[in-house]
Amino acid sequence: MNRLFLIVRREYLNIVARKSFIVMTLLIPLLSVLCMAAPALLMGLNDGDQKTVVVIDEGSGLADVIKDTEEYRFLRADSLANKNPRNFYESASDSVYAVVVLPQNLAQREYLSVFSDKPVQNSLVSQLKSSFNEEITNRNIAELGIPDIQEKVEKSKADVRVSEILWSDEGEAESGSAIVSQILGIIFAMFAYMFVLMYGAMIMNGVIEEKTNRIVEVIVSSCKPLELMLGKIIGVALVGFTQLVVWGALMMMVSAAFGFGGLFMGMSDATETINAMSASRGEPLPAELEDMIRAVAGVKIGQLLFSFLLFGIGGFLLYGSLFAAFGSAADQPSDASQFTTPIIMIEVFALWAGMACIENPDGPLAMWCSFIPFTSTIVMMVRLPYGVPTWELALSIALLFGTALTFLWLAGRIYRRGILMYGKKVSVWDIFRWIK
Amino acid sequence: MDFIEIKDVVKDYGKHRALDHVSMNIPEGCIYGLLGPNGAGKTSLIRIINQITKPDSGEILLNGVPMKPEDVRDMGYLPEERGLYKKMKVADQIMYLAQLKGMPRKEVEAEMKVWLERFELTDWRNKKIEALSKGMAQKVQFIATVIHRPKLLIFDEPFSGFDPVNAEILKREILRLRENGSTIIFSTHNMGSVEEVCEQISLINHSKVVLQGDVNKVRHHFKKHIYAVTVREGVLLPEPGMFTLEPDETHRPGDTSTYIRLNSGVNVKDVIACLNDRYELTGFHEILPSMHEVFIEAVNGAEKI
Repeated sequence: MNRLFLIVRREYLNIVARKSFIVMTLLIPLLSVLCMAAPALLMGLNDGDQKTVVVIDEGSGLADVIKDTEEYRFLRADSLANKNPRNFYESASDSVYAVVVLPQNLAQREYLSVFSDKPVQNSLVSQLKSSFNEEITNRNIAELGIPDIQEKVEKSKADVRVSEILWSDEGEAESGSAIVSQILGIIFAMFAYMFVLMYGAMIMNGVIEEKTNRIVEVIVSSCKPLELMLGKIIGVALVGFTQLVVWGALMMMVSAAFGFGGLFMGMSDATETINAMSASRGEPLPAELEDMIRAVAGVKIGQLLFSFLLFGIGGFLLYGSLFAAFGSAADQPSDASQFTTPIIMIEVFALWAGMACIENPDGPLAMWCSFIPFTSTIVMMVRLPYGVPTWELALSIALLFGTALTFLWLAGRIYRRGILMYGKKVSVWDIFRWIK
Repeated sequence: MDFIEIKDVVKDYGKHRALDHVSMNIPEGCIYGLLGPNGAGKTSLIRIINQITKPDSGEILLNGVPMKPEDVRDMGYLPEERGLYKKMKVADQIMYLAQLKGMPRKEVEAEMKVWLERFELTDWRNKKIEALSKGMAQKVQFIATVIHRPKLLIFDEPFSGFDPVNAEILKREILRLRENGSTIIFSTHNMGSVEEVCEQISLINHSKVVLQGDVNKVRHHFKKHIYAVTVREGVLLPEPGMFTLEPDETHRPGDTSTYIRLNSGVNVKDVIACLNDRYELTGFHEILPSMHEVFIEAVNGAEKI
């Protein structure tokens, strides 16, 4: 059997069979959903107790406009009768959270004050604003004395939706949406970033483990060091690919459960999906959801995934070979940090550049970073959903693979020296000497 | 034609010359001792034979032809620093290493069964290496080294880390491998084991071969004309002009005979005749230097024969 195949298989099975891998593969989607949902959940949380707010109406007659909520209970008090709100607040029991004073001419001045000894929460301020705004607006409209004015106002409210039409090379116009492109771009870029760091570290630790175990000497007496290094990189890359496939399958299952699974597989188009979904619901879909489905359908998922895969492979070879080379120069993981810090900094820069490109996917930063192999793997992820000219795409991929193969060759030279070097603190200069 | 011919091999690491024009011939089916102090260059030479590294100059012939990359399939290497994948199971580990050497899966299965039984490891075949004792892990590594029936075996300090019982088992297996036709390179600085198993040796010191040849011939070369004498009664006295007595501390442990050193130019026959006249002689035999003594003397004196 082919030696490279044997090495790849061992590396792959060694990681995939670990319990930690299986747990992480299933947990990460759950965690990321939680991460996205957490801010919303947290915002929905309050201290648990309903706070008491005292409302003092100095004659505006609007005190009843504010209604109790889960967060606040409003107690109406009579006029202060020349008393200072502060004195009132201090004489009241500790349970009073704030004092709201409604001036007599609230409707005309559109002004009121909230007193408390600590900053009041935004939710109270916005509740007060929206309640009084609505009430005062309605009163103002009513005062105009036009018959059926309320209905007329309701009817005349506008809600403009913007639909984007892209001119594609085939001459057809397709519906697309900037927001979907943005989200896809960010997700892909984050994946690229995470994968390089996570699996790069995995390659490096594997190399260091073999070295400290001393098994590497036995292995390289049976195969070429380059084979071992390449086998490791490919094996770990396949692990990453497996993880992506599992996540893709999970996403497919979830979307199928919601009725738009066919959309991702390109088996049905947007209209079919919308019809099928509304049929199963028994009522028309909300306009927003319909828009979203059309936008998602407008993105060429297959083409996008193919490019993602190409850049993924190139980026993985490039960064993987660096991590393998640096791992071979270290005796333990902590020694390797002097080499990995620059890689992480480059990655962080690439991610930053990628995020900056969301605003301007065709600007000079985006353009240059798409050609530099170390950043193109992330920046191109952001740009791809927006559509990238074919020549740029081709040049970027060619540069990436050219550089990746060069680095693979260089890494091989460092690796074969490094793995047999023990007990020496290796400097960057030593590594340069090994290349010669 | 010898099985392996190492011809004038030079290897530099930066400014350090690890091997300085090293040559040796290793006959087929021989247990060849590669001796030398730590850092002498033994491991560098072994790595070149294993094709892990390349020599800067010189070459190595296998059966008269320069070594080819695929020759590593016929080699087995047990490095001094042992190591296995700790998370891998015993059987998987042996299978992986044997397959890397090009051995088909079915053959490995059959052969592994025999070896695991021989080393009483059958019950451990599905345990991870990290669950094994150090001695057991060493046995697993030994099996992985020899399972593909290599024509050339390289053992670097094979007995280190083995208790005496297991070292004896290992020695038996090494001799058995030789009988089955393997040529064995045995790198060590444990001289006791050299006397027991090696037929020929090369001693490397400071990157150069300082001593080379048949173990018995080497010991004869370093002999000091010392003889062990036992007499039935009386005390042996020195005989000026013929021999002096050796101090007690040079004696082999447990040896109650008296050691004498012959003066240079004195004939053994004359000494025996002289002793026979004065004492009732019950024993007289030559004491050859141990490999340990040869080693120390050669390393200090750097002599080549």
